[in-house]
Amino acid sequence: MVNPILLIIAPLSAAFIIPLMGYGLKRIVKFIPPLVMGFNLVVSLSLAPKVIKNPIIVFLGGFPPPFGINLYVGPLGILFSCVISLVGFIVSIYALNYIKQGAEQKYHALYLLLLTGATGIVLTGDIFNLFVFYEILCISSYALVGYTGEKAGIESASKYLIQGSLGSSLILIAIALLYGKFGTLNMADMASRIDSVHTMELFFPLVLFITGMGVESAIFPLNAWLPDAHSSAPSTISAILSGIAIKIGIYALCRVIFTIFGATDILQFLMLLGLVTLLVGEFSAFSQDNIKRMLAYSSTGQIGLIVFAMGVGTQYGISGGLFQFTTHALSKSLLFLTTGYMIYRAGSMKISALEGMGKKMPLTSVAFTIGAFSLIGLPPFIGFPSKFMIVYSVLARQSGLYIVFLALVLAGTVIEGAYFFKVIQAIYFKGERKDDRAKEAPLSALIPVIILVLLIIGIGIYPKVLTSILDSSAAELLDRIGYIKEALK
Amino acid sequence: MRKIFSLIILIILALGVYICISEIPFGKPGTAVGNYYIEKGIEETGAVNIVTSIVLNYRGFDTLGEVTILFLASLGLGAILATVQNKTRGVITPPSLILTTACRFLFPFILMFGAYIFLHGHLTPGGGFQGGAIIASGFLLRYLGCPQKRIRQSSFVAIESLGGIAFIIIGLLGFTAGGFFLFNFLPKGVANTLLSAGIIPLIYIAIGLKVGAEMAGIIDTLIEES
Amino acid sequence: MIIIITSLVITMLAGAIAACALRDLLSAAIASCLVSLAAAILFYFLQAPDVAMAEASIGAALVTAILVIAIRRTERQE
Repeated sequence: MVNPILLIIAPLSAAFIIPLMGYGLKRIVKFIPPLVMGFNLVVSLSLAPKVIKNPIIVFLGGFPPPFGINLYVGPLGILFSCVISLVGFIVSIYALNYIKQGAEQKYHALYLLLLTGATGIVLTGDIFNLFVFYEILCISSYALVGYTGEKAGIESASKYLIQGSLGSSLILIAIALLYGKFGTLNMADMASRIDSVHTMELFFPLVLFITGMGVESAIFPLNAWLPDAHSSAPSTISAILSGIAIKIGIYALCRVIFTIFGATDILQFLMLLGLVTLLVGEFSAFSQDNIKRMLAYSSTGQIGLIVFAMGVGTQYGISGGLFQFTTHALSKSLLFLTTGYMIYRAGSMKISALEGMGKKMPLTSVAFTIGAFSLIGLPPFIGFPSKFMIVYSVLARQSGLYIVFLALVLAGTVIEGAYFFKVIQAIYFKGERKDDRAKEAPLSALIPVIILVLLIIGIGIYPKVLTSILDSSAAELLDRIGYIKEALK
Repeated sequence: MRKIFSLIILIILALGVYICISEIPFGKPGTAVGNYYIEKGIEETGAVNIVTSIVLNYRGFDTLGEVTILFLASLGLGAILATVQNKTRGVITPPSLILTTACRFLFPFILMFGAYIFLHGHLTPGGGFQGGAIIASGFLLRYLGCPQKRIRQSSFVAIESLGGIAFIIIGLLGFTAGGFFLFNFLPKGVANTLLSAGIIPLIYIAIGLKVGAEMAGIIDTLIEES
Repeated sequence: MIIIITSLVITMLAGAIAACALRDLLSAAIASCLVSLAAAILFYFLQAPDVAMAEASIGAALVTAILVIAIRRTERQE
């Protein structure tokens, strides 16, 4: 059996090695990220069947929890780790020919560190260790947003940096308060002691956690940094930030709310938060004429939907939320990757500049359409089963309030459909392109796009592949006692 | 209006923190995990300085992450500043003779003190981070005193990477020897001697050099740009 | 003992307020250096010499140096 620690160590050591390769080996640096991520993907997939039956607990340094740090590799962790390495792998193939400007070598090292941080967060079983990896994730995102050195990039990176570090310090304060209270940092140990403390003393750390992690996951009203940061970065970075980074914030939030605090009382508040984020994101996306800003706002909307589904709080609802996470990771990275070359060929980010691209770049345009349809939730794409699951889980609660919420969510979906159709209309049915500069994207960009399209259609037609891992992940979140027992065995 | 609003938020924050910490006893040993470290720390890790035994053995993985964060900061700063345009050089007043001479005289001693701090990390207070920071402050003094003498940026980068790789390799050796990543596989030795505590001195040498190179590199990058 | 700790805490608060209030950024940087220095001494008195060492060398020396370099590159007044 492969030890899950390799999932973190492999990209980390690769990132340390890359700066050393400046001497003579510069040309092969760009092949390291696909190799490492491919390795991670294989390891995660091979671990998945075992982990669904029994979670693996890894002791670091040989000390049992709560004295040492442990990794808790359960179904939830492995689901996230699979998606992270899959999207990381695909985007790094796309980057082979796409990244030409700026400090190329440093881009690859930062990219690997971002994925290290994300993998570490989802696998660790220790709250301070989670914070350390959270910082790795955040700081590498700040650097990646600004690394091109353009003025817009640096400005949005500083905006992101200020808000993000404020959020991180709130999380650190919350961890310090909890450590003062319980004298332990292990999540399972903390969860087992949390019932002995008065609710009033737990409320404040929980608020700090929600605010701090809300910044990274861009929950309204903490999403001010997102549209700038995601639209001014190069497309590969937008894809990885939208597809992976913001969702990791939601993972951390769910871990804290469900596993540590067991705070099922605030789930309705979470639902409301998700709903507001969804509506704000979709309405703002509708009024954009810059395609990358539109996609960034649409990410906010989708985050809202995922948070909403998590707030439903039933087994089926959380499965739906996790399914929607997978959908969004695949579809949004597909959208950003396809628009990457469209913008490059058109020379502008305006939607009107993309008119007539359907004839010049047929494959890319079709892929964009598929990604958009999948996000809207049309069959037979992956978005349909995930949205269906969320709708079904809300209906199953059989309460008037939930029905009202659901109606608003569906209204959000309609707006989402409207702005995506606006772009599709511009690409296919408007204007004629005279210039010959616009030609199809190169092969190294088409291969990842085609892989994503196949995955989106494949899982959309046969969603049962994911059923077992989604169900056991949702069970892991809901079953606190089981988590504590497994981790402190 | 804005000031009143921020004042209200500040009061709420202070109240929240107060409610949380008012019940925690100040300065008394109490928690189960903390007591375990104090009782078993020297026996299990061989390090007399309990802080070090926690930082590098019980929670060694965190330290790897923290070292990575520092690496990331210097890498990101380098990536952003390398691409920024308009490099205008400010006027530099040359340092006086006293500063230059004192700087030449003190520089090797500051380096030696830094090395002492991280080599004795398992015996006395201090360790890799502190020793590295002291070394970096030595370099800062050198930049002020002798601004024309520069060390190549690439050698800083090489030391950073090698330090990180050394940390991971020590961890992986522990994995092959004992089955756990970062396992303390070397003999613990006699407590309170320089050659004790297994892998701790080795990791601290790696961290000390790495942190020193990183912070000196950050200052070097910034001074170069300004 | 309690007098030392109280005076250190008051120094820290004064430094922090000065760092926020001063319009001259160089003085503000020095004021924030004062906060770190007082914190380092405070940590030493609270029997945490490891933290004191890190706080003194990083907080008081290196961070201040970085701030001063940044101010030199930009403008001195707020």
